[in-house]
Amino acid sequence: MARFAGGKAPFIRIANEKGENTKRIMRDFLIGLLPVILFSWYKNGISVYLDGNISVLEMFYPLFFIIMGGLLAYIMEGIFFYITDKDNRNLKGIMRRLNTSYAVIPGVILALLLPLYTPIWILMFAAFIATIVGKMLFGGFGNNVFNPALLGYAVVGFTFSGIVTDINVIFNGSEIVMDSYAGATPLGTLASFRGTGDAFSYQALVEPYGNLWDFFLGTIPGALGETSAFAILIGFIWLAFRKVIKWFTPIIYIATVFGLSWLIGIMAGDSGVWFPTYSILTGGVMFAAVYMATEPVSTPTNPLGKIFFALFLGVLTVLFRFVGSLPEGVGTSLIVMNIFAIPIDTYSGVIRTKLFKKPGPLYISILVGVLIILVIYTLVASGNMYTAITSLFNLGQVI
Amino acid sequence: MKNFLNKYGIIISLSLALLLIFIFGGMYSRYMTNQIDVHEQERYEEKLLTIVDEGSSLEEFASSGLETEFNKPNGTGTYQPELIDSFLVKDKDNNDIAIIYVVETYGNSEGLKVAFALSLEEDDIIDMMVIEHNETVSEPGQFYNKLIDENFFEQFENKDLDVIDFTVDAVSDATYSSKGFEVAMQYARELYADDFDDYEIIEINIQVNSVNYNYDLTTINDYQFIANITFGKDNNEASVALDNDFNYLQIISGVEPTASEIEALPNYIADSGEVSNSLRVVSYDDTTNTIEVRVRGYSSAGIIMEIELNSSLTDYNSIDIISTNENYDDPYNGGYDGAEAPAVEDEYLVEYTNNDVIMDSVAGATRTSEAMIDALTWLDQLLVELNGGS
Amino acid sequence: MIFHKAKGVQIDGRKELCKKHPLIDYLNPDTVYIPLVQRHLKLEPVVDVGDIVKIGQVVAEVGGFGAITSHASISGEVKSFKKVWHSSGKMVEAIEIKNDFKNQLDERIKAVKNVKELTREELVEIMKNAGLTGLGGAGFPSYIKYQTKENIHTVIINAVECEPYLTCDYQFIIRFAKKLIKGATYMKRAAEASKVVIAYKAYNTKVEEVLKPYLDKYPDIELYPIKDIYPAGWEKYIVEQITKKTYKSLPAEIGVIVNNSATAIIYSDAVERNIPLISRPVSITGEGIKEPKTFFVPLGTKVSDLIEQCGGYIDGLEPMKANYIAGGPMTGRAIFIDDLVVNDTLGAVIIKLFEEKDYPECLGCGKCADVCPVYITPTEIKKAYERKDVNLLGLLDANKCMECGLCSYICPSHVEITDAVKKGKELLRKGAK
Repeated sequence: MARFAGGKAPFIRIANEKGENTKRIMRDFLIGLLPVILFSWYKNGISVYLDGNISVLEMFYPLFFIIMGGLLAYIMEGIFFYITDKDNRNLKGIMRRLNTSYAVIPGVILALLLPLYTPIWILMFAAFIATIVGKMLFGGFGNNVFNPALLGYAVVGFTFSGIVTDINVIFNGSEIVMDSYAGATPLGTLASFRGTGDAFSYQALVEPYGNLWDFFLGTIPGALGETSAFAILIGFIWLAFRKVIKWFTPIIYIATVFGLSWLIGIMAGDSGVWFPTYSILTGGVMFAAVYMATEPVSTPTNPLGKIFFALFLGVLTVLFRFVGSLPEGVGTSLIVMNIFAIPIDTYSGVIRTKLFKKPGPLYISILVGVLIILVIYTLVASGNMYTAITSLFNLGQVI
Repeated sequence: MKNFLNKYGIIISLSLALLLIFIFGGMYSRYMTNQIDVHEQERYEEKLLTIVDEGSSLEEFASSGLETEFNKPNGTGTYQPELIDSFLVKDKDNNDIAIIYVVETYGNSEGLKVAFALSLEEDDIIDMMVIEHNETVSEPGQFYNKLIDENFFEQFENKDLDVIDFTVDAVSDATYSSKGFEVAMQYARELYADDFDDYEIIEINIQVNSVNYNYDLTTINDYQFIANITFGKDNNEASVALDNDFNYLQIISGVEPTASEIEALPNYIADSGEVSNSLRVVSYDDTTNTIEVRVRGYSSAGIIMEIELNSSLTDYNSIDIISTNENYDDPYNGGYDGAEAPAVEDEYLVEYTNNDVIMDSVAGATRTSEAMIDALTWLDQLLVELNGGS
Repeated sequence: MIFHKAKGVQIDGRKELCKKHPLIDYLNPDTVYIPLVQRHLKLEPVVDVGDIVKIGQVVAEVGGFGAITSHASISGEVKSFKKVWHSSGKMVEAIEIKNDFKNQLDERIKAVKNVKELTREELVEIMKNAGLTGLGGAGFPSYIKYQTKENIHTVIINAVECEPYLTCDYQFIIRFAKKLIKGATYMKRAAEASKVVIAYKAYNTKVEEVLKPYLDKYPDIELYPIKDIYPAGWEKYIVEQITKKTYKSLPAEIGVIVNNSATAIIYSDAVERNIPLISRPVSITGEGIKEPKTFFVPLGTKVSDLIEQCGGYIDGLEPMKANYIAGGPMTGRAIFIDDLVVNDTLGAVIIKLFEEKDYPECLGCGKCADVCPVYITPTEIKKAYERKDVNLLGLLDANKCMECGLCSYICPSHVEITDAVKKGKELLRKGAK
């Protein structure tokens, strides 16, 4: 007679059998980031180098910066494991912990969120906030409430906004040699329309940077990773194809931003499709949609929850962007929604099982109600801000 | 030792890695930030180079940075324009062809940065470029925009440095801005003259010693005045022939003045006060021996007279008034109570021909009197000259 | 709908392991141990140590709801009452019978003549006396299903066998195709239904091959191929596929009774010859077995004997790096000691090797919710269970879980999510009381 190992049913797991495990998901996610990484390297390094405007050393910097983001996060987690895990203070033990912690991804995303000329020490600080504060102190991988990279970015954005925005005056290598920029991001230009009552004008918003095709390709100023919708789209197709992310989360989110921006554009006096298109192609909406709104840990788990999450996120992005005091609405709305991911998850879990049985309808109406209130508030507030029409009654007519 | 490494090796190497990234990554990112300035500079220089068509490279030039004060456009004192940069422009064959001065002056606001490219060969302004400015642009067709609308900047193109009146035409409603650009241009010329020995700003230094009528009837049709001047740094002396408007015609004796001095001469003569007589010789006919002269009276058209000399050119035969535009009835000059014009002129002529006397001014017709006195005084002098000084 | 599209997952069946050999009879083991337990009910033995028992003789019984009898599966002497490992994962009391190899049959076992005249009640009674239970794994006494007051129109024979590795039903059907058809017909009569549908996996064309010839003779029988997904053998899934209707707790609600195919085969013997449930097919398979085979064995046979028949474990097997699984790999249990005996619910014993790996925590990918066939949200139930929030467990319908194991199967982080939901379900049941 022999003593066999214990275990729990089921005894077949794809995590074992086919290697369809978290490690593969994370690897695929990293591969999904590759188009963005390569594009930002191309845009900020290679293409400028080929034009003969920068040195070889400068050409490699974008890649270096992104790799440093990943490496710093990795090393910091290693040190964290060394300090906290007394039993595993050796290379093997730390490597084992690191293997199930996937530190590189938040690091790389963080680097992609920052402008190229961010000093390394700020990147270090941001990586510290992201991985140690944003992830490990919450309990490590799988327990973080906030998207670690986003938290790092937000903290650095607030504390070092001076340094980061000073450097923003020139965004990156390729923009140095472009003439017409005054250094403002497209969204900065958008903010100047506040309270003027003028219709959004293609001339002021798009033309300084080329045309919408340039916005799609990503040859506009912005942080390393956020500008190219094209590269992000390739990443999206890969991720959706590999089932790493749910295809509908980004699409719902982008569609929400698109729709609301269109309404606001109409209210402000221009009903052209260019405005909502411009709206989704700027300010990292695409990047957030594909790589951050789908980040599994800090967003709802079940499909219904993801749908609600994407809808709320879209509305909040538009609200913060058009009404809030900062032109960037994406990061803020993501941080807010990271908190609400937990109740949304629970609520949608209940709705999913109960559907039209008690208390399903109640929960549905709570979520939908809050959503509708937010949409109306967003439209009214941006209506006040961008048009001469002030009363709700008139607004209704415009809509 | 081995124990120690086993225990702490991993943390030491991790920390070391962090430190290395901090140091070398920091150096790398520092280098990148410095490169921003380098590229900024490159882009700036490229932009400057576009001013000069033949230019293919720039070389920094150490300018003397001459200090000269200029008036602020709003008249609140003077200021020193700032020299920001100076570059030599080289062509394909690496010859210096031009110099670019980037100066900061004061228009409607501070911080008017303008680049002027001056041709080393031609000594003129090749073109200019506005680098930066804080002038008002908010309203279309206003201020700075007006400068563009009215082609203000085209004035600078190919402007010669060798002019005395080194100014541009200001655009109305944007005079402060215009003035700012003008000062920049003038300052650039000052710098150019200071930095390059073979160019000097034209300095006119003319002293008018005397100006006389040309009483020589053989040449009186060619020039009407003769001036003795001392001019230039070397105090050259010259006797020059001038026309009725004091324009230089030819040298009579001494050193010939430069073109710019010639250009400036009329003003100097006029301002010298040497010529108080308003008479101008219009023409001399040597077949009839008649001289036609004109004097300025009350009216700017003046009085035109014909003086007929005798055949031996020693005395006059007759003096006739050809035409006169004088009028003493003007209520403003209401003092004269005699007959209508040309009563006063005639009276003078009569007195002169009959009694050889030049009358004093007639009350109420002072200007006409003065004109007549001028004419007769000149005639006296002419006769003295004709008769060899008596 | 995006959030309701789950209809199972295709799992690599590994059934070929066991299909190399046809069903092998192993009807005369040296000793058998008849467990004194049926589902959660404890049986009272009706024999004593030293008694001589015959094949088919009642040796234990229990009354009340779910009353059932156990029969001797071989003839011989009752040696002792002994604790043995049972497929429920616990050690249970069992009657040890030593084989005398005389194969003496109980006197009740004889050919029944008036088969065609048996009434519904008589057929159900036969079912009860035969101690017939669901051989698919639930072990629910079959007669209870037929005592329903609902009007039954269809009897479904579940020959799907969706669990990976298992081939016992498949090989049993190939061997006893005619008995299956007959048993199914009797079941139809026992339920007074109008038709029988035999559901089988579409790729098992051999099942269709062996059953087709009978269809002309038995026009009430239909074949219904089902996609190769897990859990296609789940009662509710089959009923939904065939009738396009769904029910709440029992298929009888919509006039359907579902029985396992092996049950139907055993039932045909019970009706025609009064042979009770004394033997069943068992697959001995898995990567840890030298030559996986499927046996037809008396209940109570020691699994170790069967493993010996398969040539034993593979060489160099490290037991602590393998699972000894009683039942299918998706829903079975890990048995610690390889001293298991065959009982009515044990369809297979699988020796499965595993590798120890480190797994991260749940990353919230939501795959478990995607695949859940009952549309519950396992992650939320797990959280609610960890907080002991009974109310929330109720809102999340933790009790709907049928423990198919798909959520754990699909989990990329190897989280024991099925187990957590199972515990949540138990907590809800206790909390609700």
